[in-house]
Amino acid sequence: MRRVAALAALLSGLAAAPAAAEELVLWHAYHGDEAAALAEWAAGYGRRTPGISVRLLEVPAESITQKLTNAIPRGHGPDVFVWAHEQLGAWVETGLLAPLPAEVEREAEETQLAGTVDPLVYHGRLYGLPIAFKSAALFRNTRLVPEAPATTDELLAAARPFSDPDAGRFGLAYEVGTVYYQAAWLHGFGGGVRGPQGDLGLTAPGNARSLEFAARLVAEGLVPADANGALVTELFTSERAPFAIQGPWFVADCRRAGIPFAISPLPEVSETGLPARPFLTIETAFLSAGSRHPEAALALLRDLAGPESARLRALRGGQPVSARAAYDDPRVAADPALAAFREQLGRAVPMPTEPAMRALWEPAAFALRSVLRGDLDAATALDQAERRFRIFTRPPPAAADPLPFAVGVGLLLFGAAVFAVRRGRRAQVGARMWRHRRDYLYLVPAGLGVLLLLVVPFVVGAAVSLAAHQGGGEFSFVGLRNFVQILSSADFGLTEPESFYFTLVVTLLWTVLNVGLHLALGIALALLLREPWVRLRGVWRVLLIIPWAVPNYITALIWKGMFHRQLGAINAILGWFGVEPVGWFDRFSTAFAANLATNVWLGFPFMMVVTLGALQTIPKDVEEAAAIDGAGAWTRFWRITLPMIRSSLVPAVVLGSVWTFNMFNVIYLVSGGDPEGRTEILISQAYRWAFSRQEQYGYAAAYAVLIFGILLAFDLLSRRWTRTEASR
Amino acid sequence: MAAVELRQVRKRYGEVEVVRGVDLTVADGEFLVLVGPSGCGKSTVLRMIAGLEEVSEGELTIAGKDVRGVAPRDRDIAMVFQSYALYPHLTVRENLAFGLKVRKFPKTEIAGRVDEVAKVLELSGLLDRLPKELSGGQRQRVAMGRAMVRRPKAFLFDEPLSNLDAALRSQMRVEIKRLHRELGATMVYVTHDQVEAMTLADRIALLHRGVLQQVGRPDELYDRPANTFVAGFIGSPAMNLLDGVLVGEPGAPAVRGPGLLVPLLPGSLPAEVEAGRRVKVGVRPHDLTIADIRVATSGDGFQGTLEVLEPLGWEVHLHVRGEFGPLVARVERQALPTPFGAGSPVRLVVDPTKVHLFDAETGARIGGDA
Repeated sequence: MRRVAALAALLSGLAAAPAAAEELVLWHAYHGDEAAALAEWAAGYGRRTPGISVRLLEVPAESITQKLTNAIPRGHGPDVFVWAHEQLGAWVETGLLAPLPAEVEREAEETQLAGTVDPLVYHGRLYGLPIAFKSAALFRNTRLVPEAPATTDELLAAARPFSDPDAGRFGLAYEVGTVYYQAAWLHGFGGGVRGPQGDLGLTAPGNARSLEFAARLVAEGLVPADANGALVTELFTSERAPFAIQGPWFVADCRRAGIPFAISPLPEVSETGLPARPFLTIETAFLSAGSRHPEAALALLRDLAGPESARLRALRGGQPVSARAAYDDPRVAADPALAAFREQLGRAVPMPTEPAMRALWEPAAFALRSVLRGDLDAATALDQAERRFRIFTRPPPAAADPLPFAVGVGLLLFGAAVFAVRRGRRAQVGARMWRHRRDYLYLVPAGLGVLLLLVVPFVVGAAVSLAAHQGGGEFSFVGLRNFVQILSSADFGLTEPESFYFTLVVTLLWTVLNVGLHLALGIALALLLREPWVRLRGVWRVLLIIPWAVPNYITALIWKGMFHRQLGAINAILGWFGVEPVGWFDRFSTAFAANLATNVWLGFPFMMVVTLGALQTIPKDVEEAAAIDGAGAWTRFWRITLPMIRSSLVPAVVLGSVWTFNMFNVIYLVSGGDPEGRTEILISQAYRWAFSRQEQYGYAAAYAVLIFGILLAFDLLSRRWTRTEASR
Repeated sequence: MAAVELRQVRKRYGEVEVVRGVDLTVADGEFLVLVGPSGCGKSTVLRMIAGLEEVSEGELTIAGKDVRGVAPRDRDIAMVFQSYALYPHLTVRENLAFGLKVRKFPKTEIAGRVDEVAKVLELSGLLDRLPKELSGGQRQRVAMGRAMVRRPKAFLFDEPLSNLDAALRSQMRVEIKRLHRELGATMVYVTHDQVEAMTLADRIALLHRGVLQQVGRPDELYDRPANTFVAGFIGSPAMNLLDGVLVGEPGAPAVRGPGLLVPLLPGSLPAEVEAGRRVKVGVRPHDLTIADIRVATSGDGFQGTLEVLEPLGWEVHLHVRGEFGPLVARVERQALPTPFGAGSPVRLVVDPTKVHLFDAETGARIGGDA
């Protein structure tokens, strides 16, 4: 279907050929110097090429892939776009990319650096032109370590004297818990993310040894345990780490810090004699399948990958460009950083482009981190990761015959319709509606809104839960198989974090503890604010509502930072009392507590406001009567105040429970499911199935339907409870 | 049972003083009514006795014990609120039992006392209902029962009848009176309704602007009001208070004013009161009688014109206007001359023994032994 549409667009584009000035749209995610260099090239291209103008659109990196997937099939995407080559496989499968002609491929192989064109070939055809490449390399503070180490033994020997974790000094700074950086060691120990047959997986020999190697770096205190990008930058630029493993984007940071540094290829692994080979990303200019001016767009693509553009991007943007000719320019050749990354290019492994690669990151990261923490030995961890990966990438369930299902649903709907019509006729609904037709007319806009924003997505979601995503946006009907698979916990043991029941227990614990603490804290503060001796009541009330007023993802990110092992405020405060730094996300209990603290902070103001309102409705003399009757403050609260505000609190508790049950942001942003996905709740688990496990949208939708069912049941139960309460 | 004593009690809210040095003793077993217009501080006095408000200055004792700083629950008093303040989520039985339950009385005793009180107040059939299922009068009785069941040292009532309709109010008045007789308890009762005050009180304490105006038996306040405020407050319709000047010899005193001449009882004035003094003359409406306008006697009395005639069956209220201002008289219908209606000239006379005199400046009573 899509291919046909793309072809039609292509033909219509040809037919409409260059009458007036054509505007070509180029999407990219660059900013700063790189964006400026691109803009300069685009302006030049427009001048050099009559009848063509280029419009650049900077799209945020977080959303560019999604925007492309949505825009191109609908015909309002770019003609050309620049992004990392890893997405290539998925994009070819979904028909977003137009293949390039054979002569362009031949030309690219001659003009581009070796190793930058091959990764862009998918099923025998070239789907883009390289414009730059990125990989990690070894950054060295030349004042601390003048000579580049050639082997890991040399590296560690040079690093060791600088390591003093208690003083916040490390021999080597890199994001040790990240598979992207671990890849260098995987390859250096002879392993990688492909099995012996070349298919994706973690079974390659050498992988286990590489994990043990990384664990040793942490255990010996050479590398900070939960380093993130900020910590690596901080350590290296403040000269508290002589080495860092980082990519080209780090150069600007180092230059800004003004430290003497040099970049060299990652060393050879002493145990194997093989070079540590990092993952290679090719920044690729892609030709959109939806372009209305494919010829002009192709010309633009070739110029963007050409020598003039490359020179500009290298000099202006500091990009390790892929065009050979750029390096003939003496100024480019004189840049040591570009030279170093070009050298590293020769020993880098291109990131796989198959869509399944996206389902490998999560299990691989779980394995890596559990080995770093010392929870599992490397072989077991890799076995588990491999098993997870197999489950995540298993073929979708076989298609089922939708007929019986459709008949069943049809009968059900028919029955409901008959029932509704009979009830309606008895109550003369039609006549009454006709009488108030003008009133109903006023309701139409709101009704349409509800229909489009609530009913339609709900029905679509429910329908998707009966289907399996076959890739490329194709779905097949599988009946209730998704539900059976989830509820029978067929793939995972009950105590594994991916099991529905494990996640359900965590979710319930999460909800109960949160809402309980929200209530306790909210009520306590509301009662305190009511005390006559509290001054500046209005100020306090506003201050206490602030946590609620700040967007929750911002709060979540702030708390995430506060829980950081090395940089976080919480460990710093604990440190004053002599407590060793806590790796908050290393264990379930502490990671869960971190999530809980964040969400309690976010949630108590709501309960406080509701309680404050409810307290207003209590006549003062009832509490006074209780005081005279002999009740102390505590008894008064439990026997009089609380029962009287309970009916106002119940809806708030129901609402709070639903919000908390689905509090995706906190889980995703604070613990991110660590350790090993054990702190995931149902909604974040559904997200993983949809977006980081091979796009199993049907499976994820089934999760969503189950969540809906649980919350619906909870709401009905709570209604019944309050009803009996009210009728007492 | 216990006496309640206030010595120079003051209550201030910031700069505002709402109770200004009240001295009051409620004897053991006495029914004292605190009466006064709204905002006079009577409820504040009651709430200080209950411990719901702190005493800003002065002494407060219950049963001889200084209770300043003692929590309400430790004062062993019970209070009935204007709004009844029933616990809305508890049944009548639970409402009645609450005070005993939190004081950890044994279950059997609680049940016994609740049943007993319920019987006295005719609540036995309502024990399992919630307050919202009761009528106003029933709620009122529950509020009373909640106080009674505790058998406290003293009962405090804060306008307990003002939310009831007139019929129910007079019925409850009788009931409260009966209760007081049966329990023999010390009771302090706050109201703005002088009828309640008159009918219920052993003694009345009349407050105005935070100051006690007069304390005494109802008949004392009625017969010998200490000042114009008490005179105007107690009695319905209110006492007529008109401006005048003392004239005549000490042997034949009188008050003369615009349109009025009121002879006084010879020797009724204290020696130091001299002629020429500006006074207010007070006459209760029912002490006025219509003089025959055609008979020109000495010309004493109140000369005016009838504005409105309110027939009330046996009696009639006459609203008369003269140079002295408005005046109300309450006379037998039989005594009306004919023809008589709005616009008719009328002269009203009063028995000299029934005349009250007050100083025009201070409002204090002149003569009598109040």
